[in-house]
Amino acid sequence: MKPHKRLCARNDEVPYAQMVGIELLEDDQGLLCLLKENYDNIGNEIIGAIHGGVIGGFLEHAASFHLLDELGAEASPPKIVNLSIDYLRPALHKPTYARGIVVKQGKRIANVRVHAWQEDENRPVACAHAHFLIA
Amino acid sequence: MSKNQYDHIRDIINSLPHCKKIGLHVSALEQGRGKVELQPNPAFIGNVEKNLMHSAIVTTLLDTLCGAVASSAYDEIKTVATLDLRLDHLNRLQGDKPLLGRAECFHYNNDVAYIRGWAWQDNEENLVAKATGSFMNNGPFALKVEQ
Repeated sequence: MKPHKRLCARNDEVPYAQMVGIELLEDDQGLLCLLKENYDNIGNEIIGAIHGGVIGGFLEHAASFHLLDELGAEASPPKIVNLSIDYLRPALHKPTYARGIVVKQGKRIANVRVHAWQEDENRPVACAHAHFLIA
Repeated sequence: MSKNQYDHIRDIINSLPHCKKIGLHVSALEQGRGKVELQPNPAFIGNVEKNLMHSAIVTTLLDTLCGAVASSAYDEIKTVATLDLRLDHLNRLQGDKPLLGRAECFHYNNDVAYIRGWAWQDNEENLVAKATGSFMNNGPFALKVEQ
């Protein structure tokens, strides 16, 4: 996997993405988001799990960049309207990946779905759907 | 449940690695309700051009607080697992202003606690986000006892 050609630089300019450790990669299916292993993201020390807020934020960040990927890298940042996160399994202290699809892109609103996993994409740790204003 | 045990839970949450990293401070906790505070930090910015905080920050703030309130919803402190969290982002997050929040349990049964929370900047009428979450009750919280 290599850095995402068009969006990587734009992501690297976001201080929050740098703080938690989000990178944008590219594989044969297109954009792939990575939340790197980072002790500062831990929210449950007993089982060593990533903070649920960081997972939610990562899904939201991934959703907005999947939308930007559709809109074109020159588009202005989509504005989040709402986000609904389902937590499916504990996200342990290891690399976490996310991929999304733009379910519907209207004139003003887009609906995006994302899912996150660690070792096995068939065993997601969380999924989310979000609405963004794109006008 | 004595007041001290809510303060103990607050201390545990405030010292979690990610909460410590961003300086998230659950400032009040009692049965079924709580408050949280977060000071602004340049590392929280999501839109540099407009100096706006990343909305992930308010997600983290309300996720933490709603979880803390769910743990404290019952007659004794419980371990809970987040089932889902829905956030309405109502207003832009100013990058240079503190973020405040409160949450309350509006219903619980033996299996699930239902929590709603609000976050604001400046004053409580300037809401930036509203959250609704459900949390599974995983049984009594085992306080770590040093032997």
